[in-house]
Amino acid sequence: MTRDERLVIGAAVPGALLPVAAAVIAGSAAALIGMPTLWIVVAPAAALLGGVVRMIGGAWIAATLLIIGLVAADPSPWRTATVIAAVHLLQVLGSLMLAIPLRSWIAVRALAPTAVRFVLVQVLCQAVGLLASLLPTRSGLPIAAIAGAAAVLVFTVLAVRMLRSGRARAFSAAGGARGAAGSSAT
Amino acid sequence: MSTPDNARISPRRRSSPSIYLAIVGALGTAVMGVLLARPEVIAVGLPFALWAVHALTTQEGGAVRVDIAKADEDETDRLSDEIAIRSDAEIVEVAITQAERTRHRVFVAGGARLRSRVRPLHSGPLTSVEVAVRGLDADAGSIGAPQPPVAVARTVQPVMRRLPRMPLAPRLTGLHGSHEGSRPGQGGDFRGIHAFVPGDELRRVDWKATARAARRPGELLVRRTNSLSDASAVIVMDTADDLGAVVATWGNPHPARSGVTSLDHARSAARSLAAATIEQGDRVAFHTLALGGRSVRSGGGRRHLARIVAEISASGRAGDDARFRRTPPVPHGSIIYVLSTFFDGAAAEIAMRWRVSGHRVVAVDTLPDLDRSRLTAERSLALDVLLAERQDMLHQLSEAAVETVRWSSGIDGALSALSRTGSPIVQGGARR
Repeated sequence: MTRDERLVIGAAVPGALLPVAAAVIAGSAAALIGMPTLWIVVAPAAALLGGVVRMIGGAWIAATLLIIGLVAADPSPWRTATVIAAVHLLQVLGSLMLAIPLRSWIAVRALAPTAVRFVLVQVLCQAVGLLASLLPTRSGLPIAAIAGAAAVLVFTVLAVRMLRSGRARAFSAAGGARGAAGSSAT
Repeated sequence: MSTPDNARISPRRRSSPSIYLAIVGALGTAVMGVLLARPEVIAVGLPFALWAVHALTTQEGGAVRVDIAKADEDETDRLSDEIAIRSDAEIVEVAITQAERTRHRVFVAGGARLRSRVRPLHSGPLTSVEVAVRGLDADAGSIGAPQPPVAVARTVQPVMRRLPRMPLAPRLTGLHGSHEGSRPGQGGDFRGIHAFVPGDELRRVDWKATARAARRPGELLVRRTNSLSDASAVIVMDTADDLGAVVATWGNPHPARSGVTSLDHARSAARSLAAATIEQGDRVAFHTLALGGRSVRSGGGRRHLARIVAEISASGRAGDDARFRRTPPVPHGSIIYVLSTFFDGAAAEIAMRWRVSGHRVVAVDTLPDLDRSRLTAERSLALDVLLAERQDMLHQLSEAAVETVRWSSGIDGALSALSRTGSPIVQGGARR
């Protein structure tokens, strides 16, 4: 915005913050779960590069590396929790990065629904992750796998119903507000 | 200004590739977890699965309504617009072009209000803000169709220069005005002593002259004065070209880099001439030469001046068919100001035609002082050829007794000189 033109949108952050945040999250998570140094560098670099070259899907590359890091290490509840939070954040940031250019600005208020939804999903997923960590692993491979898959299915169906009803309520409230406001004078 | 109703319907939404990546992530972690007997790996895929399901089941909420209203502005040289975004979408992508020169992309919430402030660099019509929007839902996993842009057109009044005494039209008309006419009437200077005839007012009887010079008893002598008349001026603006001071921008005009343009000068000249003409009690009309161009009929007074200034401010560069000019009707015996760069012969030809018809024609050259920086040798040579042709055109105008003044420098002195010399073919006793 130059001196001759000014655009006021309220509190806002630059679009370039998204790949930076993705890189920070990928790097921090890689370090926390104890990945080798090379991957601690590669994961954030991929996330950062994904902000510049959107076609490569850098955030998903970083998420894949984190999952590989989780698989390669011994099972651990805190490691699972870290990866669940990180891959979810990378999914959200990656999706936003595909639509939001680096040189644009994002109003902080516009990110509020994303943040609320992230917290709700994380509460659910972290609980599932904790339960999954308590299940026996190598001794009973088919049972654990089937239990895990069933858990994913059940929670997915439940979550869809929950989100759909919540969304319907939100839309009905917004529609009512809009109807009350009517058309504005120009 | 708001989005048209038919534009509110968002016909097509599309899914982002991130949905497919999330599905792949969920399936991949599930398969990996099953194969490795690691339930926690399956749980890692749960956020992917939930995210994808949410994005796929998101209902249409992307129709966006945009309302733009003029906002109050403290600074007089700024244009301010209030942009209201109304949508059920979580995020609305807004592409804004300010003052036809600066583009922004911002992402705001569905009920956001934005404020745009711009400082116009040129007079005339201006699209102060143009807004195109689309809705995004589910963390931009669901993308709405782009809506038609909404624009707000404003007009910027040109700068007015206070001009000295104006040149006079060759023929005065009417019995009201500020110029002394040649016909007997009221308000003017002493014209002579005449014998009283029916129709003379008794208060005009000059008793001293009657006592001194009456030749027979009962004869009365009256004082007669000249009438006051007004003149007609016509301002004709050629809108075919809008050439900036920076010659390097002529092929690719840019509002911020072009410097002052010929139409800026033309609008400023038209407003200043109209104001000065009406200030001295004359009538003025305004026309643009483009086909279907703007016209304001001859008139006087402050309200008429306001009408003319509004039309001048709204006059922009004509379209692609600008090379074809019309010849507007002008009152007989008017003084006509032709405002043009005189690069092509159309305006000069019309000026000479009016001159031959007996009008007094003043050609106002609106080409700004040129900045020849960043010109290649070839373009500089081409400019020299153009300027030589233009000089030839101005010379032909001078030979046809069309008076020529340059707006950018010394206009005050030039107009004063014209007002002193009077018209080359003053008809019928027009006096100052």
